[in-house]
Amino acid sequence: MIKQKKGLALIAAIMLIVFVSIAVLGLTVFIVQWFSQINSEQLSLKCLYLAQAGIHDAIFEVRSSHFPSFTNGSFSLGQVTVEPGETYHRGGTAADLLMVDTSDTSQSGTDVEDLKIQKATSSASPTVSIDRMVVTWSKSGQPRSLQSIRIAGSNRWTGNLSSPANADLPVNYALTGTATISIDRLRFSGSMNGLNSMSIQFVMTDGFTKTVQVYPDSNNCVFTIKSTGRVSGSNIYRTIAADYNLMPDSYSTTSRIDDIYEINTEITSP
Amino acid sequence: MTIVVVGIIALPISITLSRHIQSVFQSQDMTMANNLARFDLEQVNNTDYNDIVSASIPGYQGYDYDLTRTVALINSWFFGLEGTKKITVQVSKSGSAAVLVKLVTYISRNIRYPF
Repeated sequence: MIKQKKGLALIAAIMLIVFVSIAVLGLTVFIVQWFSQINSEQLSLKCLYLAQAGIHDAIFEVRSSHFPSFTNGSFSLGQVTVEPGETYHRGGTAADLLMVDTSDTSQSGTDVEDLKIQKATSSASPTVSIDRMVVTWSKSGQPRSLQSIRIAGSNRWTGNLSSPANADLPVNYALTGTATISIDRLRFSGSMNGLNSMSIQFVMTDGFTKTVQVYPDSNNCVFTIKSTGRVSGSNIYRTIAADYNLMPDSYSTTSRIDDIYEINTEITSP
Repeated sequence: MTIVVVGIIALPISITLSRHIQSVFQSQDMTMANNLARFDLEQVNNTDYNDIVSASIPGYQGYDYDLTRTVALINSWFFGLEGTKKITVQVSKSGSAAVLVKLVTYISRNIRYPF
């Protein structure tokens, strides 16, 4: 009888040990995952502030290289080390890096004049090249058609299209360097008096597009800065995109970030 | 026999459980440090550029953590008309030299938002 009781105690002890072991194992898994989550949150936070560093540094570069009537400023692309193992990487599409300055646009007779464009980056890559310009306008009175687009002193497109005019440039227009280029005029079939509004969608050779209202003129020159923050040894990254408006007529006092948002795309080039 | 078996198994389980308790406190420290570092950087983000300065704050926001903010001027143009500061925020448990979290960012002068 006593022997049977001793056996029962051992079995009960083993069962208790098994039960406690399972509980401890479960707790261990929970705590390991908890730590992993806290670590991920910390890395994610680091990446976010590294991405912000890239945006702010770009804005400094743009503003400190802005010279009115010559260039609207530019910023560099690529990877920059902020701290050992902690980096930001700036980049963007051709459309992101196309500056369209609409501050001086005007309508005169048959023309819409003085639109300015520029490559927003001093880096050679990516290529910022215009494939097509889709011009949309509304005006009162007699309808007109678009007949030519003159950029930097030469007609880059001629034709006869009504709104929306899909002007496919026979030779893509590539922006090189960071000098401001003038779209001298968009010429129409007759007087454009009574023009209410005009917008242009720039279709870039990489397929991305940028749409800008060019008339009536507005103190706008918007481009997009994208920056990814990363910590080495981790797969976590955060990317911020900022639409920066230089507001060329009053840039020193009013230029601003029009919009800032997070995107789920890692910048890895150039 | 039962006492021997329980004794052999109980020792590692006890050690594991004590480590778990340590971990719970450690993770609490890390979470708190993350939140305090983030709080400080968000405050700095909303501070006038000229007023962003280095600081060492024991018992930050009344919690048992010390915060060190280091500010370095990394870009300056035309007599400081434009500029960028590098902000490094480190948080550690009060009285401890071990850094629980370190966040780094840049803040430039003349950053404006429409909101």
